[in-house]
Parts: sequence; C-alpha cells; structure tokens
Amino acid sequence: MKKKIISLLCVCSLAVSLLMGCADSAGNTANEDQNQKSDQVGNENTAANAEKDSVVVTMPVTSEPEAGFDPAYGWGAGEHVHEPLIQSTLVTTTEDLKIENDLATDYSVSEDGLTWTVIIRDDVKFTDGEKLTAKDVAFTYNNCRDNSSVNDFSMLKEAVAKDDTTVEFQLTKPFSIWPYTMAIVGIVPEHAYSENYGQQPIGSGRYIMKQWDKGQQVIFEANPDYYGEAPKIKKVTVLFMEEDASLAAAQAGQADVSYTAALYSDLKLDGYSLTNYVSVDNRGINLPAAAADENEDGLTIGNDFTSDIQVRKAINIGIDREEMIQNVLNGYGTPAYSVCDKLPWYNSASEAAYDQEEAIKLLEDVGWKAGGDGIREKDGVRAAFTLMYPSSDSVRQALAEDVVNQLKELGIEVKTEGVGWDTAYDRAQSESLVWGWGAHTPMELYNIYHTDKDTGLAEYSPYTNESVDKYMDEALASNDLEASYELWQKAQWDGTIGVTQEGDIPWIWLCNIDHLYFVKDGLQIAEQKIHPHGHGWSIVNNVDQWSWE
Amino acid sequence: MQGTMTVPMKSRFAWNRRKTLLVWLIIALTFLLVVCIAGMYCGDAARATDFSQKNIAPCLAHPFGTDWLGRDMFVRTLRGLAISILIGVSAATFSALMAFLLGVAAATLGKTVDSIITWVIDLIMGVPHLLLLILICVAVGKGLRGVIIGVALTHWTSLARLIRGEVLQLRESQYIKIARKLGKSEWHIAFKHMVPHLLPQFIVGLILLFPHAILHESSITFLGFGLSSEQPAIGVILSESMKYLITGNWWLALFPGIMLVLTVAFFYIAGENLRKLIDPSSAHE
Amino acid sequence: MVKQYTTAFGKKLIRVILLVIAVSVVAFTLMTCSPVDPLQANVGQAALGSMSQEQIEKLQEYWGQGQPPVARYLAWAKDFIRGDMGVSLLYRQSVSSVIAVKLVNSLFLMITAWLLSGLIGFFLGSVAGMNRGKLIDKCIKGYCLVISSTPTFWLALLLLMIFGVWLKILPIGLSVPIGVEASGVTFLDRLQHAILPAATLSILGVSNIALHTREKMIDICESDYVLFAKARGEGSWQIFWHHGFRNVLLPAITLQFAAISEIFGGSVLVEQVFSYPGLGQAAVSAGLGSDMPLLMAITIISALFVFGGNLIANILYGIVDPRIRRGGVR
Repeated sequence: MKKKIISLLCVCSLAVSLLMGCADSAGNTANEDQNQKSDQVGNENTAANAEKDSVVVTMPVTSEPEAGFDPAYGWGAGEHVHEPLIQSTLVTTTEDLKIENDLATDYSVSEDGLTWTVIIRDDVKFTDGEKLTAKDVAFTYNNCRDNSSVNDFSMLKEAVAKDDTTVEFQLTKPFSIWPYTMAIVGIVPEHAYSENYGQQPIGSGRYIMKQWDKGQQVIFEANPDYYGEAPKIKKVTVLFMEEDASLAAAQAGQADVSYTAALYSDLKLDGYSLTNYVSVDNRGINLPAAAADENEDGLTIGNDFTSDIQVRKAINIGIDREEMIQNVLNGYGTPAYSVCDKLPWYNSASEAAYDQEEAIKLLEDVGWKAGGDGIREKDGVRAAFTLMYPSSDSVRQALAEDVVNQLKELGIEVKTEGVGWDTAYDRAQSESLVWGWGAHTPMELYNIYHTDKDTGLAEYSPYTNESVDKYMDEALASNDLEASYELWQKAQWDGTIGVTQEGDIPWIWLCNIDHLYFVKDGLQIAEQKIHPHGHGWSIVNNVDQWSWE
Repeated sequence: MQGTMTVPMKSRFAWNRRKTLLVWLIIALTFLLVVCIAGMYCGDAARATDFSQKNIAPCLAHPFGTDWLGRDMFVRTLRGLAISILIGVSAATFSALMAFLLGVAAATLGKTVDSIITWVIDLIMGVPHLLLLILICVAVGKGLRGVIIGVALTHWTSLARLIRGEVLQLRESQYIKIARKLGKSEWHIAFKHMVPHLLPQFIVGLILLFPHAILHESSITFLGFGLSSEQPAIGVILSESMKYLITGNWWLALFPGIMLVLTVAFFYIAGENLRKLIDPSSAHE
Repeated sequence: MVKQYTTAFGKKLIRVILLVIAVSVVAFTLMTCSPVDPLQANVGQAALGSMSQEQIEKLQEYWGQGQPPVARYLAWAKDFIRGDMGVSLLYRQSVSSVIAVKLVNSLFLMITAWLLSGLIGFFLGSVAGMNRGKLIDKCIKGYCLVISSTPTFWLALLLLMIFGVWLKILPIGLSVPIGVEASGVTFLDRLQHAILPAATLSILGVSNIALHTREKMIDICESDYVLFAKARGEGSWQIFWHHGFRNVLLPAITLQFAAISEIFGGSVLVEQVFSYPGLGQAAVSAGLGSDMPLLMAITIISALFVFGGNLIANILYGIVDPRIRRGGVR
C-alpha cells in the first residue's frame, strides 16, 4: 500500500514537471544565464533608448489586428483608419488632410468620374527583394474588393494593371473621394500572398514586422531598403493593454508613449509629461426627427418628443459644452458642432453658442409648459426621452449623465441606459444614443445624413432632406476633390437649408475628445495630423520621424 | 432521601449551543432583510450623479466614498446588494423547485426516467459552471433575463441528486413499505410521509443555494454578460472599480466587496444554523 | 478480474464519449439560439456605418448566418472528429493554434493552483479534524467560511491592488514581461507573472477540500481503531500517519479531481482580472463575440478535462483501495 502511494506520487510529480517543461518549451526555452537577461530587460529597453532609436508605445487591446496585418481584414483600412506601417500606400494624407503622393507619382480621373489612372514609381522593392509593380497594386485592390470584411469596396469594379507602372481603377459609380481610400490601402505582394499573409506580412513600407506575440505585443524594425526617407526610429514595440495596464507600464518606466484617458489626467508621473492631441474623435447624440411610427418589421421608428424641431434646437443650444468637457474630460476636449470639425469640408456655420435662456424660450414659445414635477408637457406628450450609451464605454456614460443633469434645468427628463451594440442600432431609430464618429473622409456626412433609398430615411436616425441629399450626391460625382469640399459644406448649410442649428439639426454634436498620452521626457513626437476616431495606431502614423533628444 | 447526590438542574434559561445558533440565524436574517428593504428604496439616489463630488475618499458625508461620476458608493452598494439578493433568491428558488421535482421524479418514476435524469445531471455537471452560464447567457441574449435563466438552469443538479438519494432511501424504509401494504395511494404516501421528511432538508438546501447563486450572478455580471452598466449591480460596481484601482481609489473595490462577502457569509450561516437546528444530529461539531 | 476491470472501464469510456457528444450538441444549440448579431458585435460601429448592403451580406455569410443549423452542426462535427477544429472567426486562425497557446498558459496556472489548493486544503483539513473543538479548528473553519463567501474576482482585485499597485512587487498583468522578445522570456518570468493568478485560485480552492477532509478526519478519529491506537499510547502524528492519512486520502483525491470544474470557472475570472491570456479569457471573448468554432472547442476541451478527471478519480479509487478491487469493480 505504501509503495503504491509513493509510486503514485512519483508519477504525479513526473507528469507535472513534464507539463511544466512543455509550457516552458512552448514559450521558447531559455537557459539559466538568460535569467540575468530578463532582470535587465526593463533596463535593456531604456538602455536601447539611450541609443536613441527605439520606442515602446502602448495601445488599446482593440487596436490589435486580430486577423493579422492584412489590409483586406482591417489593417489600416479598417474601422480606425491609419497608415499601414508595413506596407506602402499609393497616396497619403498630409497634416491638414489634403492628398500627397507616396507610391504614386501621378494620378488622374476621367471626365465621367468612373476611371482613375495612377502611375507609380518603379524603384520600389518588397522586403523579400521582389520588385513592386502595378500588378501587385491591382491584385491588392481586387483582393480587398473580394474579401474585405471590414471595409466597403463595392464602388470598385476592377483594378487593372496596364503595364508595370500604370494602374487603372474602374469604378461602378463616380466617387470623388477615392484618393482617401487610396491613402489607407497598403499594397501587398501578389507572389507572397496567401491566407496566412496577415501573420507574416511582407510589404514595402517603412517598417518590417519582426515579431508578434498575440494578445501582447508586436515589434517592428525599420526597413533598410525603404525607398523614401530612412526612418529615424529603428525599432518600434507596440504593447496592447487596457488603460490601467498602460498607466502601470508608464509608472514602471517600461513604455515611452502610454495612451491614457481623461480620468488619469491628474496623475503626475516622474519622467513623463501628459501630452494631448486634438482630434476629430467626436461624440454626439442623435435625435429621431420623425414622428413615432411602426415599420413593416414591427420596429418603432421616430420619437414624438424629439420630432419637434424646436425641441432639437433648444437642446442644441441648451447644452453647455465647455462645462461638459470640464466635468467629463477634465478639460481635455474641444466642443464639437458637426461630425467633421476642423476638417477641410467643415462648415463653420455649424457653430452655435450656449444660451440657456434662449433654449427655454424656444420651448415655451411652442407650448412646452412645465408640469407639476418640473418636467414640460404639450398635447399629452411628456418632455422625456431615453439616452442610451454603449455599456462598455465609461466616457460616453459620463457624457450621458451630464446631459441628464443639464437638460433637467430645461425641464426635460432624460433616462440613461447602458446597451450593447447588438440592440443599439435598432433602438436608435426611436431613441437617442451617444455615438462616436470622426474619420478622414467626408463619407461620414453621407452615411449619417443621406436618405437611404430603401427606407426613405437616413440610416442611423430617421431624417430626410432632399436638398441636403442633392448636394452630397453632387459632391461625390464631382471629379475635382478640392471643389467638392465646397459642395459638402453646402450640404451642411447653404444659407437656407441644412443640418445646423438654423436648419433641421437632427444630430447634436457634443465634443471632440483629445487623445491623451504620457510621453517620456526627451522623446520628440512628430507633428500629428488631427486624430480620427480610435485611440490606437493614429499616433504612430509618423513614428519614423520621431527622435530622442 | 438522604445521602443521594443531587445534580444541580441547569436552568431552562441557561445559554446553550442551540441558543447561539438561533442568535446567529436571527442576526443573519435581519442583516439580509435590512439590506434588501433599504436597497429597494435607494433606486433613484443610487443613480444620481453630481460632478462636483467626484472621487471623494470615505468620509462622514459619504461613508463609502464617491465614484468618478459623483455617485455615493454607500447607496449604490446597498442597491446593488438588494438587486443581487433578489436575483439570486428568485433564480435559486426556481432552481430548487426544479431540483425537487426532478429529484422526486427520478426516484419514483422508474428506471428509464431515472437514468435519463441522472444522465442530464452528469451532462450539466460536465461543463464547468461558469462556462455553461456564459453559453446560456449568450443563447438567451445578455442582460437580466440571461442571468436569471442561466443561474436557474444550472444550480439544481446537486440538490436534485441529494433529493433523489433521500427519496430512494425513504422508499426502502419500513414505514413507507407498511403504508403501501396498507393500501394507501402513491399520492397519499408522497404527501403525508415523504414531503414532511424531505421538507426540512429541502429548505436548508434552498437557503444554501442562495449564496452560490449570488456569487455566480455577480461573476457573470462582472464578466460583462449580465446587467447593463447603469444599474448598480455589485458585479458592475466591481468591474468598473478595476479601472480606477491604479488612480488610488481603493474604496471603490473594497467596501462593495466586503459587503458582498458579508451577505454571502450570512446566507451560509443562516442555512447551516437552520440545518443544525432542524436536524441536530447533523451538528457534527 | 482483469476482464471485469476492462469491461467496466470500457463502459465508462463509452459513457464519457456520449456525454461529450451531448455537450457539443447542447453548446451548439445554445449558440445558434443566440439573438446576438455577430456583425454588430464584432464589426465596429463606424465601420458598419460605411458599408454597403452587398458587403453586409458577404459578412453575414462569413459569420455563418443563413445556413440551417443542423447542416452547420454536422459539418462542424465531421471536421472536429478528423482533428480540424475549424477556424476561429474572431482571430482568423485555426482554432487549434489559438487554443494551443492559450491552453499552455492556462494549464500552467490551473495545475499550480490545483496542486497547491489540494495540498494546503488537505493539510488544513487534517489539522482541523485532529484538533476538533480547539482554537485552531475554529480558526480554520472561520477561514473556510470567509473564503467560500468571497467572489473569485474580488480576491483577485484585492491581490492586484495590494501587490501590484501599492507594493509594486509583482507585475500587474499579462503572462510575459513587457516588450521582451519571445526568446528572452524565461521560466522565471512566466512564474512571476503567474504567481498572483495562481495564488488567487489556490486560496479559494482550499475551503471545499479542507472542510471535507475535516469531516472525514473527525469520523476516523472517532472510530474504534484510533481509540485503540490512542490507548496503546501512539502520539497524534503517528495516529495521523498510520491511520488517518490513508483513509482520508481517498475521499480527498476524489474530491480534488471533482474540483477541476471549479478551478476552470475560477480561472475564467482570474484571467480576466489579470489580463492573463488563457483559455478562460478566450472563452469570454468568444462568448461576447459569437465566435462559434472557438467556443465549441473550448467547451469540449473543458468537458473532456472534467470527465477525464472524474474517470481518473474512479480509477484511483480502485487502485488505492484494495477492498474495492477485491470486492469486484463497482
């Protein structure tokens, strides 16, 4: 009996040590003297920084391209647009969001707007030595058109390589903002593309992906054969972590650029300074602009309270945006009056000053009288609505709560509710939701305000206006990008009709959230373009131009 | 009689272990009732935000401190506990009823039913509890409904096994066999003999299910599958507090957690003491 | 006798296989019933906003909507049996590679916790049982009560707060140090990152086994042969070693194997708090994101673990207790 137990214990400990050994080898074995190395790793990073050409940057966990570094699956050309460091793009956007050439030496569009012709440089090689030709460009775009699961390429009919340096894009409809798409699609090599491309990407861009520890980090090294200006920073390590872990990394001195949020902005970290970048990452709420009705699927569309245009106007000027930014963002934000503040197609007529008395007057003038509990009513309709926010987002929750407090002073009762995205879209047709938008393309205006031909109303919140639609259609069909900006502006407000305070105001824009980072002293981050929605890759768009003092 | 030793009689009102158990039981139940009732009236106060009172450490005005939206943590915790208790109790009661029915059915309706039910029990116990809860929550759509249904559908297994074992034993006992020989119907036997015997164990088992249910409910809400974040459920409060640990707002996680531990512990104490009071032979001290 | 043994074992094995199949059917049915739209759950709001209808339909096909459920299940089962666990929709790689990495991380954690909680619980339970009624017994019982009332994630939070934030002596998350290349990660690093999660799981797993061991120990201490041993003058350590230990070992082992299920549940929560990339975290993301192949695979693997554990416990029963062997296999 004794022997049995002893042998049993021996077997158990053997099994356990075997498994531990497996765990170790699976994680790449290291021998004893590398124990020393691990202790010095933290120092190693800072020592490398002493060599002044590597940086460690933290990003939200959602920034990790889980499907790999493949443009077809969201790398660069996904929900959050940014420059794909590993690959090159045909053009890029400048600091003030105009277009400049990158791989392309020239591009032009036909009269009818359906054909774009691009000529590319002929001195570019992929990091495996093969030349980059127009065939690779055509392959990339056709591949995206067929397989892209996170972006819309339905306007592309076919990309054809006319010769080694000329590509022709045949579109299904005129699309004046095609250059903005060209700015974010990284070119992949046709000869080295497979399903696993995303795991082992080969590109011609400024950096090579050296190592990817899924769920934790990715390491980039500068491409020595890059055709443009050599990157100043030779090694970039990106860590994917939650906000609090990101802060801890900065506290431990292990990250050079650590993303953070307003709630941590009061903290003082030795050796770091808080830097904020203005963004167009905006938050706004939709107010259904149609009377309540049921559509054929039984879904309620419209809201009897917010369909009153005076109510919407009152709400727009009844919200003190500065106070909101102070309360919720600790001052790290700017008021937003449209979805595209500060972008080239913004119409400054959107701006509306805070005036609580005027707001109350607007409500009283049309008959919204305060009832016994301080909440207004008119014709049996109560001045109340539900404001939803995505449960996972505490900033939007705080914004919603602030709206509640502010609108109470106007006599409007707002109830907040945390929802998941699975129900939010449907419910936003009849209730308000706190949305987050902001991209480097005017397409957002189209998606938010343009009437959808199937339903007769805009897609995300019921609203329709023929004049606004007309301007936007003209803008897209135009073949001069710069001239189209004016048309987009007219769509917002052309002097008599629009979506601003004087117009229909179906969406109330609250604020643009500054992107905050703790940056280690001595690191010079290059001038940033205005950051779009999404806190992740935008900051390293120009990491090749950063430097250490 | 002379010369006999008299043993002093213990006074009827002397303190004994039974009284200790009773006192603890009453303390536990009082605490739970107070939390429940107080929590029910805190609904609006628990959600009121006040940005001028952000992030205040515990003090007299706010015994548990305030959070980043200026909400008073004491009121929020009370409300959250009340919600958790209600959800836990209702889901567990439903589960216990299922356990009772299925346990009795397994023991009395013949071999096939018995093997089917045992097989189902093995099936449910084969998947780790939390994983099964996640699956059910996903299947039903997250939120309050998902949590209640998930908890209700997964907690009956051990109680059912217990009841099944008890009933099987009972059926072999003398007095039941005699009753059957005397010609009493199955229903009569069931109601007059089996149920009174099972009831105490059932109630104890029921009460002991509550803490389990509450812990699982808060875990599932913590992971993000349960109630949405404007409701101050304890799981929500604790998962939000994770973000603020690093800013040093320790009170956001400490007090709600302690209250939750107290609540669950009191449920356990109530259940165990009730069991010992009802069935003194199980007081295996 | 060997024949009896093997037939009983064979029957048990068949039962396990049937149960696993049933588990997969149930898991699959639950997932298909889900009203969650994987598109809205996974494709971000702003991206969905810029898509056309054809695009959306293509995505729906990718996420498996629009096919009859039975066909999908059969297709999945066929592949699974051949060893192809499908492609994870969220991670866009084969499920086997996703799970391989995470399984190793989780195993490291779970086995450590399992061993520690078993040993400590056994030790505490024996001490409490042998010293029934004394102060140490009361302390251990009180400790077990508090432990079993504590939610796993709260204890994890507390430990994180104390050791990671205040004292800063242990890392606050992940499973490897920040910014280190894979070849530079040592066993010691992994150990360091696994300490807090493993400690949480171990502390919590103690109460169940401690209480049961205590009960059994008390039973044994009241038995006749122990009384006889005491009368003979055996000291308490000798009583424990010669009589208590073997008799209490068997129920303890059985219980410990049955606790595998609890450890897995606990690891889901602990991995979430410490951002430890293991199976539990994968299960939560798969659940939130409606990633059917991944969730199915994880469910089946965990079911296998649990059933396997029970099977091993049954076998051990037979090995360790000769009475069971001689009396015919149960």
